[in-house]
Amino acid sequence: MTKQTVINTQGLTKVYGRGDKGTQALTDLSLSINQGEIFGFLGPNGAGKTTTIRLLLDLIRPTNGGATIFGNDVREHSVELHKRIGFLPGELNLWKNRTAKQVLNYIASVRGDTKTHMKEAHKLAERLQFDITKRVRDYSSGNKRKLGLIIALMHEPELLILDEPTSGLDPLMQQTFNQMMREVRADGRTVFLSSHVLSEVQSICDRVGILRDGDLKAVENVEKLTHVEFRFIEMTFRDAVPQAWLPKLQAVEGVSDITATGDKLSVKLFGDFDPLLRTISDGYVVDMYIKEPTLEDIFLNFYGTEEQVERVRA
Amino acid sequence: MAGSIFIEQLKRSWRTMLIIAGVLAFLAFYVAAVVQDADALAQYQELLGQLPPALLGVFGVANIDSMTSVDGFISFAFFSYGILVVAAFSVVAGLNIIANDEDEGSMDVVLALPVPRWRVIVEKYAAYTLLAVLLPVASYLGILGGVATMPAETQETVRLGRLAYACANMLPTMMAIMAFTVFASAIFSRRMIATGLSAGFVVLSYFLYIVQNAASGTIPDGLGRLSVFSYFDAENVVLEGVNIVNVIVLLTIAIVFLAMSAFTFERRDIA
Repeated sequence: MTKQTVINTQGLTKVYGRGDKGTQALTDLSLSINQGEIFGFLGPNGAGKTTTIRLLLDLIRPTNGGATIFGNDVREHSVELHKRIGFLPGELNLWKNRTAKQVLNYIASVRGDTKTHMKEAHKLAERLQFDITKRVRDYSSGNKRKLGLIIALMHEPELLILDEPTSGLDPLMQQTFNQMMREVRADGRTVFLSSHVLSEVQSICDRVGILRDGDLKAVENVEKLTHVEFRFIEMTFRDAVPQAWLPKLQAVEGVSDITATGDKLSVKLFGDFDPLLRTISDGYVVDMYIKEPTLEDIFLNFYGTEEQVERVRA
Repeated sequence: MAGSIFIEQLKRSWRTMLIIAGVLAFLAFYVAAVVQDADALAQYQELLGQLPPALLGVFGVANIDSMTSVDGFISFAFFSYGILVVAAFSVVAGLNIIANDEDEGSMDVVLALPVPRWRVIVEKYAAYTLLAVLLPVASYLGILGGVATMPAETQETVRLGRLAYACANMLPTMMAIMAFTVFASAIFSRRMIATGLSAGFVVLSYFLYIVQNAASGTIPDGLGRLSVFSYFDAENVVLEGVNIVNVIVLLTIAIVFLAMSAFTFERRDIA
């Protein structure tokens, strides 16, 4: 069965400001996210994740390109679409003198079915161990995050758009959050979340988009991404590493990040082992340690220099 | 659901409004209670009559006839300064409609709900307009309280109906200033700019109004018509009754600015 495309962007571009002072926040983003998928949008601060989310919610308008959600243009049909979307902003700022219960009641009443939504909000609060009777200003950042999650989930939306959802949550609550997202996926609903927490993305996302300086660098299955063919090799030799090896190693295809200190040599290797082993064949290897790249290492590759990225791709 | 933003705004703001209304009621009571001696007022008027009209105008006295009656004096002493309190409230309320929520970041949460931007403006504006009714009501109650402390013969000279009109005339003035502030917030996403622009609008309006009084028949007199306060003109309301044209002008200003706010806000990025 073909799954419906929930989010589709075509050439989505955003420039803040005008003329020479303009800042390119997002460049030509074309992306499709399917129903029942948890999609992670990965990138450091300033990469364009929040800009993308705010464009999808019609809080800001694109300089070029456009986006659809459930097949409807996000600008023309924003009000209708917002009925089907749950949103958690990166920085949740609410009315400090109101209690969480009052805030939830307000949100539920704007959404139109106060009783049903509040019932669900109470369930979520119980699950997240969140006391809704306090004033917003009295909550810690983690508790504010929980309140934000309740606001996003209380109307059981078909699409969740979450900006850094687990920021401030303790590890136990992160587990609860992960479980909740899996349940959302099991219901056939869709999650679009941004993060710079790699472990979070690795543990719950089906696919990941990597954003750098407003450019989408890659979209991959998490499984595939973690099977990128490079690894870190650390070797210990009986004698000091000969300096004559270094230019030879630099010339070997797939070898980079060479560090030689005393009897230790470490390299990053793309592809097969054989060319590397042939180059150092006149040395006596005492020990060899092969480290598989973590998602963080892969991530750093994408955020390295343009040349490094090209090498990873090659 | 339609009306939910309106109700929420009422819930959030009624306490603050009661405090402002209390302050205004006390001010009105104090002014009315102080003016109890009609003879003293007559002497006061005689003294003022010897001063050049331009100088009187600088102090906001457009017509010294207002000093011949207790209600005229109340309108001068209370409304000349009370309207500044009301104007300050209008700017603060106007900022609460867009600028404060946007600056603090809660506007993102509201606009991610199924609600068009124009409805956020209209419902919040309607809530503040309803709450603003408290201010003329409190002012009038304050005046009534002050009048009640006057001797019976002085009380008989007070035209309470005219004072009620003058109090009611605060409302369209507030609506106009509030709508301008919303418009400033709709154009500029930064609260500081919206606040500065709105405060500038009030100060300039008051300045034009004062200068208008000081220079009858001159260019500044004509420029005074650009001031919202010249359409408020409580003194003339007490002396001659409500000028319906002035009320219509204020309401038109309010509606035009509100419509322009909705149009502008709909088209710009949320900060």
